[in-house]
Amino acid sequence: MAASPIFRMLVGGRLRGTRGHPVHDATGALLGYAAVAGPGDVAEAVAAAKAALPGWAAMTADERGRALHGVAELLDERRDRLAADLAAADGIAVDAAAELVDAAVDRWVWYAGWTDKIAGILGAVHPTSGPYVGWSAPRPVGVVGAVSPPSLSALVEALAPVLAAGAAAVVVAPHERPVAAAALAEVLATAELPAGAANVLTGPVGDLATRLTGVDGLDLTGAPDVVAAAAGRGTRVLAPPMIDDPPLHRLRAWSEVTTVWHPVGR
Amino acid sequence: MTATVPAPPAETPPGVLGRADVGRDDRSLRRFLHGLPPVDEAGLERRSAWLAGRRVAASAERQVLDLAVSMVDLTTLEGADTPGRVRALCAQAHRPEPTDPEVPQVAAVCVYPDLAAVAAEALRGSPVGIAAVATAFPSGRASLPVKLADTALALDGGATEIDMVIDRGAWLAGRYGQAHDEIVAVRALVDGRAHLKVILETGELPGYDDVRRAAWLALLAGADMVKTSTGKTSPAATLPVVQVLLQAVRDWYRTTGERRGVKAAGGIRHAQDAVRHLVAVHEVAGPAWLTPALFRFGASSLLDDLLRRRRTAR
Amino acid sequence: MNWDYGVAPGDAAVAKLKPAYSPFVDGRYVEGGDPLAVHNPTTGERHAEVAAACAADVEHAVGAARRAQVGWGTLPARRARLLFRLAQVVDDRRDELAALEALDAGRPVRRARDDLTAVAAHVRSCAGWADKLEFAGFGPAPRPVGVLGVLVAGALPAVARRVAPALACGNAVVLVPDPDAPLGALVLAEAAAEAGLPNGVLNVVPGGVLDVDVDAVAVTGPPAFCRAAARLVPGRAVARETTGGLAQIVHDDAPLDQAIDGIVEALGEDQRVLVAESVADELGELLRERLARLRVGDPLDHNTDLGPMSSVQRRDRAVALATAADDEGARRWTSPTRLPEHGWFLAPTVFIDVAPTMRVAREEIPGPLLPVLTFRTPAEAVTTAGAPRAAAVWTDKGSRALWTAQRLPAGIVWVNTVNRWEPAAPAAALSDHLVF
Repeated sequence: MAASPIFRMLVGGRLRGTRGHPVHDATGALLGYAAVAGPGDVAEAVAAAKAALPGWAAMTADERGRALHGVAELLDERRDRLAADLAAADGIAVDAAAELVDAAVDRWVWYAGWTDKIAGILGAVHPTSGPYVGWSAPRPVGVVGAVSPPSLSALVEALAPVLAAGAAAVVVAPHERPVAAAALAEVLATAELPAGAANVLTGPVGDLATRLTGVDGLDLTGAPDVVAAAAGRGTRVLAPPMIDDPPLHRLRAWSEVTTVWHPVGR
Repeated sequence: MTATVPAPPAETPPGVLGRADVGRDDRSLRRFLHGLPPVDEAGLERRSAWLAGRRVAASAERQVLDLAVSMVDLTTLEGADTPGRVRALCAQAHRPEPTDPEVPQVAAVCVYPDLAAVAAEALRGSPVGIAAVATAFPSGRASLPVKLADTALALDGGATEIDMVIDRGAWLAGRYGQAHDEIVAVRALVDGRAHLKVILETGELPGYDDVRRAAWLALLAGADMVKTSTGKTSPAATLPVVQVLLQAVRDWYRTTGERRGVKAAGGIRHAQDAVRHLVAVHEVAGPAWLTPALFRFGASSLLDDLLRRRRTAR
Repeated sequence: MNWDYGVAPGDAAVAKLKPAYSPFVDGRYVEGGDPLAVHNPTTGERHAEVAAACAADVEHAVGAARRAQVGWGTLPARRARLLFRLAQVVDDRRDELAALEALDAGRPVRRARDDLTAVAAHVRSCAGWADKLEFAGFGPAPRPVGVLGVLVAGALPAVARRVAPALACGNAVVLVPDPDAPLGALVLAEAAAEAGLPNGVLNVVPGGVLDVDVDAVAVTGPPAFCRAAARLVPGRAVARETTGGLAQIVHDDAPLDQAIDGIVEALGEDQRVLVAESVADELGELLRERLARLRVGDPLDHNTDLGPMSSVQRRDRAVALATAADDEGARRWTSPTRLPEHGWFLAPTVFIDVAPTMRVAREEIPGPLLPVLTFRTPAEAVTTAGAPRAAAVWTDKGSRALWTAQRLPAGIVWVNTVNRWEPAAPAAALSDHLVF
């Protein structure tokens, strides 16, 4: 029998994780061990995201789109293996799991296409009451800390819009169900993203949520219990529910807008 | 190609343009300098990238490398410079490749003023020039009398070329007149004795428009050459900056009929970089500038790389 | 010294030019009819042939497109993924496609490489639209047109710019390429197949006549091309796009050196220079100096700035236009640059004292001729520019650039740059490109 795998995390472009929490499939058989993040991992991930932010935000929208599309391609390449893992872990049919992976890839591609388009949707050229032109252009909010539910689709929603907006991400998912998070971590580790732009941790989410300090935005979809506590932190907070999100909700949440006025004349 | 390093001009012909045409105070000077055509950064860098992509055919490479060698101001500007080090440098300058007499001499050696005498002694009878940095190099932070004394020390030691720095503090504070008058004062001191290069330290200027204005200020004040950097700050000689300087001397020529030069100094270490700069000289200023009298490289390690490349070139 | 770059020739073999091509229909090359000769503009010699599409081929192509469109039009997420892959294929095959552009259309290979990088970016941007068309300004549930006939002047970049948005929107395309440079379109169709686009989604029928049932026809190109194209789509009202050329408007506060760069970069296109009278002499002097140093020659040579014209007809039309300019009293300056002996080359030529009524000021300019007109005020610049397809405004003053842009009826106005085709704006990416 092959050695049980470790479901690893991604911090600053490097995979990490030791044999932490044992993970079992629906029948009770051991699937592997999840890495369990501590406060130090969170702090490191936030620092890595901060360091990666200027480079990631300064890339052209096309370059970011290309890099994100590369992530989708990598995810697609491991479709069958990931589907099998998810099927085992969650006790669902392999076909159903494969459909979930396909949907996640499509969703990631959808976000990859937004990098050069959000400025056209969230930005605007506005008429003025004088000889001026005014325009508004979005810019990335900064570093987003996200607590995500464990499902692949939820993780994609936590991560992809942050990156598509040009922001950097630290995503925390529960270590009890680490399969999807670890798969994303591995994919992102080989993708052509600047190291640290995307960080994926697994651990006790309620506890880690309170450790996500020094970020510019918080997504607490996966930790509804701490929303009230987060309200006083002076950070933009995206709270659940994520179901029935308006389609651009997250891209909008992770963008700030700057308006420019310019005169028109000879 | 024979090594012909022309002697510095005994007398710089008076330019058609001078301070008198422009005005005498900071404001008039400012109005003139700010009336120069602007430089668009994105476009400038785009052209530089295009020029950098030019390839020199293998058949022409040796000739180009020789030209580059003949334009080098072989430089040592360290606190730990000794007479011995300067003499070794002079020997290399006079005969860069002892085994190959076809390799031309470099244009000059470049040293601190107190070592100019050592270089002059070592290069007696050689056509290689003796350049000395002066005027409180590299910062330029000293009084005018000190700067002039510094320059006089170099001249008395036998310097044939003076590399002075502009007062960037005065420039950034808008005291254009002061920056200008200092150059004029040094010019007056060196006139008839040495060639004057004026270092703009472009890495400390806010943008390419300022590079163009500072170049014109130096040309107005009588610089024989405008030079990018001291080599002590970064970025130093970049292709876009050198392009702006080449445009300035080209435009000076179109205005006055007088050819002034450019020295690219700092950060040029590889033969390939040097060739890129020569492409820019050829295409931006013109073929007439492809001579050590009008274009120089200030460098310490570039020469070795040029020679290395030359050995493998046909 | 006598500076010489020597020659840095690229390898023609990189282009993988084949001796014979044929229509590309339903995912593969089909036999086709009579061969059309394809010439290398650098030598003037025939270097390949393309079997023309006969009526049966066009019918076959439209039928294949019709079948393919049904699935293609209903799977936006799949379209997005496949078009992203097409962009990747263009990126991966960039050097090959650039060399082919040089061989087939005379585009200098370094420029061609930049063009192709932009093409890949454009395809990528369109790919991103495929699964979010409801945000593209077409209303909540946009539907594809169906089977689209496309006629485009120009080589691969122009073709890709037209075709990518059409495909992204869920249409299938039957394309008639420019007879002067037909190979790029065929290779693009090949690349699309390589990327996994379904058979029949993109068909290329050289010399084909679109007299069968397509849902719309888009024609893109200069007026002469559009007139000729009308004969290839008998019995249909043809919507056509570009007319008028590029106006380079140089104000007295322009970054002159960069304005020269922009004019030189667009050399060979249908462009006119409008310059403020107060800086006209200086601009002219710098322009002549610059043009005299341009390297005109083999487009495969890495150091070439300007290649040949794409067809002998264009060259002859340019020569005739230059002669007309002489007759009408414009003053001519011809660059002393050395021209290759063979091929369809023309030396860069500047005309001054050009009046707006002269032919060279009004007609399409098919080569490196540069009529220079002067203006006294920004308002006069706008009037003199007329209705250009595009304009580049060179000025240091933002308010003046915007003032000019608001008054020019041009599709795109660049400020202090020229010929940048970023597809980012939604309008530019889609609606601007689909005209019928």
